[in-house]
Amino acid sequence: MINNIASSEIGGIRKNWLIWWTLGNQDIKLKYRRSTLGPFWITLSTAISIYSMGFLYGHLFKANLALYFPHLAAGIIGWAYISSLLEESGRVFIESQSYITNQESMLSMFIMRMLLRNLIIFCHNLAAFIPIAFIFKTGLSLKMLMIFPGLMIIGINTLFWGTILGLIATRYRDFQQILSSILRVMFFLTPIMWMPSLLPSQYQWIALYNPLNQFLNLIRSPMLNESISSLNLIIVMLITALGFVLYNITLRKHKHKLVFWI
Amino acid sequence: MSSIELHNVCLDYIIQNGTPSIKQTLAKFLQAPLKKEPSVHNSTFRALNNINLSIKKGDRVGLIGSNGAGKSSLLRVLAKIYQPNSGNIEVNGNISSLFNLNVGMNQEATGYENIVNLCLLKGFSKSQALSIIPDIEEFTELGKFLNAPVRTYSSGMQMKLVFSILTAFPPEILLIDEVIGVGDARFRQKSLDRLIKFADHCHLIVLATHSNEMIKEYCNKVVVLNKGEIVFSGEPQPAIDFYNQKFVVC
Repeated sequence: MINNIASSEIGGIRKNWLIWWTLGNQDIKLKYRRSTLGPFWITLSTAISIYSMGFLYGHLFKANLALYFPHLAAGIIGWAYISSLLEESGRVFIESQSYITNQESMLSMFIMRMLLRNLIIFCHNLAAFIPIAFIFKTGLSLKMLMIFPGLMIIGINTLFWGTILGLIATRYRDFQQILSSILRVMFFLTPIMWMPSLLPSQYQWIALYNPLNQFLNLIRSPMLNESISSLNLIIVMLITALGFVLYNITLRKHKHKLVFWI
Repeated sequence: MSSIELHNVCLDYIIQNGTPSIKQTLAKFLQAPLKKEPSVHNSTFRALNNINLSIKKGDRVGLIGSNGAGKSSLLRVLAKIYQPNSGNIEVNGNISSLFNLNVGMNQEATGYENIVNLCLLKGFSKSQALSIIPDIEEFTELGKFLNAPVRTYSSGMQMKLVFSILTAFPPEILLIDEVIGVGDARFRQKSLDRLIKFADHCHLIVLATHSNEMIKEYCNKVVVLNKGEIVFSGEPQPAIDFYNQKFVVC
């Protein structure tokens, strides 16, 4: 089932952990090196956008703010994480050109670096959500701990799907543009700015069969102190399994060609 | 015991004709049942043809050849960056390669940070990385530039930094492409001295260069490449004479 290339790639995550850990942290550190607030700019700019959007759209939709505001805020924070993982997957190998063309490298190392820097950004964004949780009293419970397995599943999928997307996007340079435009549309098709309950029952499939929504729920539900539904988990698991199979196939067939595509 | 063995190694480059867009690929895919000949195809280019090479511990091999002869391709095959299309390659020993200046350099990070990055990338620990800093400070003579981002360095300075890091821990196998030429005369001499000094620790070195002095001074074996094939291999002086006669004569 699992071939040599894929298993050495996955094993490389543990073997090379110090490298991607250092590089991923450095990415954030370097980006904010000479600013006073440093990475807390991430928190601040997210806070500004979710508070103003929450206020505006809450009144536009005449929604119940106690329900709508936390839903929107958690949705935007989760979406920012998932969409930037997808978008950066397309660039990840092109960015790592200086490593790939100079030594034999594990692709998983670059994916993990990208995942780590996005996780750091996500954690800073999470800080912007804390006041909302208190203002709108979403409550505290053990259900919130489900965010850890949720993030784990997203991490695993980043490894699988990120590598696949990265390889495709390196081969076909148009793919990155396609990916960005799809993501832009998906932002509106995914229940972030609107509540899924607003959809008429015959259109509920829009939210259900949207894989990005399913992954988003892994983050959003625990943030809102709701439990993750079992249907949600099943769909996510199926996507993960498919990703694993394709990950094996693409690596075996195309990993050695990557260096020529860059 | 480190060694390199190549048997009948061939390497084809994939050359993409124009931009390989999704549109073209789709068109090719849809036309496949109708047309025998695909409208867009990637051509390949034979970069290395039937290379047989055996390098043993203690060898310091110089690669010479005109531009495009396959020197860099051969080095990258040895470094396992390119996977050969056919033939066998057997490399024993850990490899360190110096192919171009921005080898894993983070341009935004400082010299000191890059020392740590590169050492980690080569599989050394952080404390080992910190332990070579005095050596690098002394060898590169970069002084306070080591605290500045690498993007502010000149190419000679970058060269010094990369070279000194990669040679701080003598690897078993060292592969160097024509980059030392970037440094000034003083640095070239210094780096040659350094290479000679650690030749005892380093089991095996393969060096591609256009500098005959370097070959004469440093190598004990020379391989002449032309159009992806080995046309001569042996002692440095006869190899240089052969190369000059065959390929340099106007």
